[in-house]
Amino acid sequence: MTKNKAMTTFLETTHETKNIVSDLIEKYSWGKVSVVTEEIPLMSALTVLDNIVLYKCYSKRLSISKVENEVIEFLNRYNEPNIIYSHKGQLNKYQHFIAKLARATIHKPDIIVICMPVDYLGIENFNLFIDIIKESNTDLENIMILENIRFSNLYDNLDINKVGINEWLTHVIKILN
Amino acid sequence: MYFIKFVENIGKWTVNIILFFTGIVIFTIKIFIAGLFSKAFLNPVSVTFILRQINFIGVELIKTTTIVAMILGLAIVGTLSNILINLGATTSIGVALTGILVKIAAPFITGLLFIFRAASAIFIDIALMKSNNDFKTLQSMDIDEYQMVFFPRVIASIISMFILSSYFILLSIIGSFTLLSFQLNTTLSVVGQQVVSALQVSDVISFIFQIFFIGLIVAIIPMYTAMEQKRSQLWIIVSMNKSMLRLFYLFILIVFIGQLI
Repeated sequence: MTKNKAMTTFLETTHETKNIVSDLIEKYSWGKVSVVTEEIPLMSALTVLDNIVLYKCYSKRLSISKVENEVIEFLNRYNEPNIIYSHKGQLNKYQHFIAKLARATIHKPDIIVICMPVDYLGIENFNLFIDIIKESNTDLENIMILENIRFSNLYDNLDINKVGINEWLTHVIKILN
Repeated sequence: MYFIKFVENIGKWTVNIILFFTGIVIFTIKIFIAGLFSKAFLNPVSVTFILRQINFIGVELIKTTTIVAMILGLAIVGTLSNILINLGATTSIGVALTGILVKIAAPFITGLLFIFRAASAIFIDIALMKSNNDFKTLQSMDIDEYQMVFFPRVIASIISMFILSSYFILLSIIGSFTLLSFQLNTTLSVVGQQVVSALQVSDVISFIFQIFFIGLIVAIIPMYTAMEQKRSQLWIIVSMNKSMLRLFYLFILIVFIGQLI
């Protein structure tokens, strides 16, 4: 199952998955496991750019302006370049999601866990989202667990593994250790 | 019965004050340790945040300070010089100007302006961060909130307070020169010389003491009070009142101690 260290995981939000995600966050650094979840909000006092680059700039001692282009490029792929200097309160749900996704992927962590309902993305944006994830990491192993009924017909066309939560967790811990 | 209740209240009040001051001191020490002695000292991100805070709470006050310094500075200097001229004590103008401007007017007026502008903004900023659970984000990323959130605000507050007070003194001296040049037919260098020669070490120490501590409490008290509140937006208004009152009492205390130096 392990092709590459990097992998993206989609989780449906349930009580169980929320607990798993909380445990992962507590045990591993953001550099290893980055999470897109409602429990870790964007910081309201910072712009989208600051929110996205905060960890990368802080941990690597970079100035924000140095990674600004990288963020613009990322947001361009999602057709949302204009949100870069917006604040949390000015974003709609989709933009919110994109900003959080950018925040979780910009520093290339080992594992990205998306523990958020993706329904509101819409089928077109969901496809775009999957394509971009796959494109940005060609060797990425995408694992999807707990199917989302609305998008389940789309999964068949995507090269995504479907595993149970326990199998997924074992795999994740193996990668992280 | 009433006496016992009265004593109980005094005891409760004393304990609360002691707890408050202990909390403030510990909070301040933690901020300075995190800001100055951590591995991430002078991290480009925290430097950016410090500069932004200076812009947010300091630079935006320049306009107001200019207007207030022109009006109040001129009024103070004008009244003072009029009294001294009437008393025939024109040679004491330098001493009086220095005493009034450096020890009282500059820290007090800029301190008040600073409290109105910065303290409320800092409080709302931190209180909203707390109620929005923003600190969870920092914890998840292993980013020290003392270093990234509190320290930049404290440093920006002290630097801004120092710059604004010095600017106030400068404007007031220019204002006083304008007035005195009409009243005494004197020059800027004469006024400047009088002010500088009258300046004593104790005045400078008093000025620095007041500026430093006013700058410090304007950031610390709102942040501490905001962090004390429960995670609910309903508490923000109640806590803000509390924060402003605490700040005002401490402000008066610092100005008072400053006069004793």
